[in-house]
Amino acid sequence: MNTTEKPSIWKQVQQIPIWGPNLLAVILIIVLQLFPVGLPAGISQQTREIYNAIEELPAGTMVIFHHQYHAGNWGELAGAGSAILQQLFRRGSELDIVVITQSSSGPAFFDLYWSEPETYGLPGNREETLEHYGKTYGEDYVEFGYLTGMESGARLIADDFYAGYPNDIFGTPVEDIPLMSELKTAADVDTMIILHSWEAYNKFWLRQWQGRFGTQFLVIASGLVYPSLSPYYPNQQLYTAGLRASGEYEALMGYTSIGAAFGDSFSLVALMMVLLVVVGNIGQYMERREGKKR
Amino acid sequence: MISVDPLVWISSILIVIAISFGFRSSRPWRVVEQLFIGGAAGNAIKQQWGNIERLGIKPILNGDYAMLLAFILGIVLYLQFTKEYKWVARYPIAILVGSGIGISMATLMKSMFVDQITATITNLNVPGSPMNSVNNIIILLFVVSTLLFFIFTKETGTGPLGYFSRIGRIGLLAAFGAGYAGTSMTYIAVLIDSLRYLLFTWLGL
Repeated sequence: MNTTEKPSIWKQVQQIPIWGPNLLAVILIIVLQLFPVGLPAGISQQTREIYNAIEELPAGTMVIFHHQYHAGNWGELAGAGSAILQQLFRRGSELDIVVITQSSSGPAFFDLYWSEPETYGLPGNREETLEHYGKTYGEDYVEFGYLTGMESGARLIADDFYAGYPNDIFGTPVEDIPLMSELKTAADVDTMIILHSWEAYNKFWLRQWQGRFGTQFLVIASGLVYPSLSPYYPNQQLYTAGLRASGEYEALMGYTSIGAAFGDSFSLVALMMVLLVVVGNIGQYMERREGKKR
Repeated sequence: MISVDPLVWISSILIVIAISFGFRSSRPWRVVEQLFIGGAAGNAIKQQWGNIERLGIKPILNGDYAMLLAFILGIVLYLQFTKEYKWVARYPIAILVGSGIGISMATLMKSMFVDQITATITNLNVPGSPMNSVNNIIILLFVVSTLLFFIFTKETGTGPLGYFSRIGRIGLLAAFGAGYAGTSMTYIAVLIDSLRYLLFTWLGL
């Protein structure tokens, strides 16, 4: 065997060193973040369905905004979360909004909306944003903190909300919050908007809330779990993918912020990955064909 | 303007070292990896201690002595690290498993089976939308074929069952591809978020 024979071009395209595409991806992202080109983007049917579902919520609807923010999914979900919050807020006092989370770092990340509002397209901090949209904390908007227990926690507050959340994030006893007189169990909740990145998490809440009480589920999921949620669509929940939904939702709401900022970089890096997969597969096919000919 | 916050500098340097793994592994990267694992473990311990304090110790001090039972069961769990009393730990494990199954079984059949079967076999003829009708028929075909792929009591490689089995295999591969694409989407998003932090929060561009 001739060990000095140069590998064929088809072999070489399958053996591109890993640092090559990685470096290209990093360069693409840096250039596009500094000099965005504004690639055209459509709005997917799934994002539009969620947008329309929220627009069609009747006055007096009790909505739970349920996030599972953490460091791994904040970049993907933050834009969509901010846009959806504003879509809920702009209905003023028509909708009652309760914020909950089962992520221990969720409250800290959610607080970034209020500490860096300009980054997420919000009018100001919590008080300024609520005032801007004509909402009043405690009367039509409440924030709760971390709820432990996964499915046990989901069932606990489905049967007795006060048992799982004795205080809001400011330490106010739940009995002293006017809005909470209307929310005792899951039967009092019409819609849950849930942002997460864990398929089992979706299953917990579907079983305990949607399965038992028929709560409408609107899900914004990270790409990691997006394909695995298709069995639940559309009978049990509507859903869309986080990063794409962030940009699309901001477009539906008529502003650009962090979701749009990710758009160009994400599109071109994803396209680069597709090209590499295609080239690699062509290389493998051609190599096998040449091997058969010999 | 470049940040003067030391925490921003520390986190930015750690991010740069972490991203360097995409080019080659190095000793600084291994240090960052161990720092991350240690930090995550420490954070998890702190959170769980907070849960024990909030949900266990405070209620007991407020007179809810039923929580003492939960404490005892939790401590007994650690007996599984002993040779002599390992069997005692089976009781709290049994309670945990039993209560978990009880909580989830309530609507398991409805949420995980009946609702999804219903969604799969309805709406095969959507009036005014031939594309949706075709989509729904394709979904039904691939669901049935994929289920047939997993029949082990009969040879599925030949005959009519073989055709469905092959279609099911294609469906599985397509699903795995979609799963891989979704995972890649998440990792690209994390990379973009990290680079944005470096560019805008650290370097102030």
